[in-house]
Amino acid sequence: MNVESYYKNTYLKCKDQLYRFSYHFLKNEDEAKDATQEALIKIWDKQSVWAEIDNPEAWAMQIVKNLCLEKIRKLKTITKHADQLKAENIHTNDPGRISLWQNQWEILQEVMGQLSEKQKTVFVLREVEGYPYQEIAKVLKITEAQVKSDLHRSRKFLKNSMQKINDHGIKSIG
Amino acid sequence: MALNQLDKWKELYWKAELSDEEEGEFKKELAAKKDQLSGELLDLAEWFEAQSSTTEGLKLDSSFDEELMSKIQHRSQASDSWNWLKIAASILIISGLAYFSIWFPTSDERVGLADDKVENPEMAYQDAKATLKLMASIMNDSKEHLNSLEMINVAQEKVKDTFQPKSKSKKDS
Repeated sequence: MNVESYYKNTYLKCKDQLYRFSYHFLKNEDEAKDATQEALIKIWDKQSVWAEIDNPEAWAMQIVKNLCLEKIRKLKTITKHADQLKAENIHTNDPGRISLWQNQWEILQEVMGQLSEKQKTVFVLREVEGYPYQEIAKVLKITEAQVKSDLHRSRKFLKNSMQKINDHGIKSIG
Repeated sequence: MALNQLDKWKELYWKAELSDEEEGEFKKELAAKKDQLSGELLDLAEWFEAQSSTTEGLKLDSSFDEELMSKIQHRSQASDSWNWLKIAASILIISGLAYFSIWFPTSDERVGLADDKVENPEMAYQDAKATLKLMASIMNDSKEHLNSLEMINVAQEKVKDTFQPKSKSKKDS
């Protein structure tokens, strides 16, 4: 297999996971796309270390995570755009589903706002991408016990946020 | 799976104590029994459903691949041409150095050149004398030609004499 095919089959196939991860951090589609592209170019440039990588997907995720954090630190221009998410990602006119998206985005924002960068990473990788504990531990270079502890904390916030939204009567799923 | 079992798993889910497999099973059960759920279990079922929709909705299309690969190829080409430039520059420097090391006289050779003497000193003296004489005669000829430039001064005086009285009379009036 030549270099380009290996790259496409190993790294480029993770583009959607990388993009989603970036999106949850940067909260902007274009910035998330740029971060994904930047991460994939960085991976291409690091061909010399490919052979040493045990888990390419986890490594790619690590690279995109660092890029996102770097971008956040540099720009600090994260804009809330629930409307954009609503308009661009809902391929349905069902008001019930739209409400579901809005609530989900609100809950996500509420939870993410209370977490540290590491906890955010754990949360997105587990809740959005469905990564196993072991993979998350590899990406973040922490133990599985730490992953579970961070996740426990995040889910506590998740539970509270869901409760809050229910109490305020925002939820209106038909 | 009974609803009370789902309740137990819900508590374990909040504490992040479900295994990977159990969590997968929990999500499937909630999706399957959504109509029978209420309270937190329903919230969670909807949360998982929304997460899975997010995963489906947030995807990059094939144009992303094309754009990325063309950028990568462009970078590779640029770095290739840059490498060629570096090679060309190295060759130029090396050949320049080689040229100087071959053709430039060494210090010994330079001493030899400085000590070099003509074979017939008398003839060399006559040659030098003739050259100096020629130069002197050319210089004298040129000086005679320059004397004609004196005419300019004469002309300048005449022009002055012609125009100055007029300007003086204007001032007086």
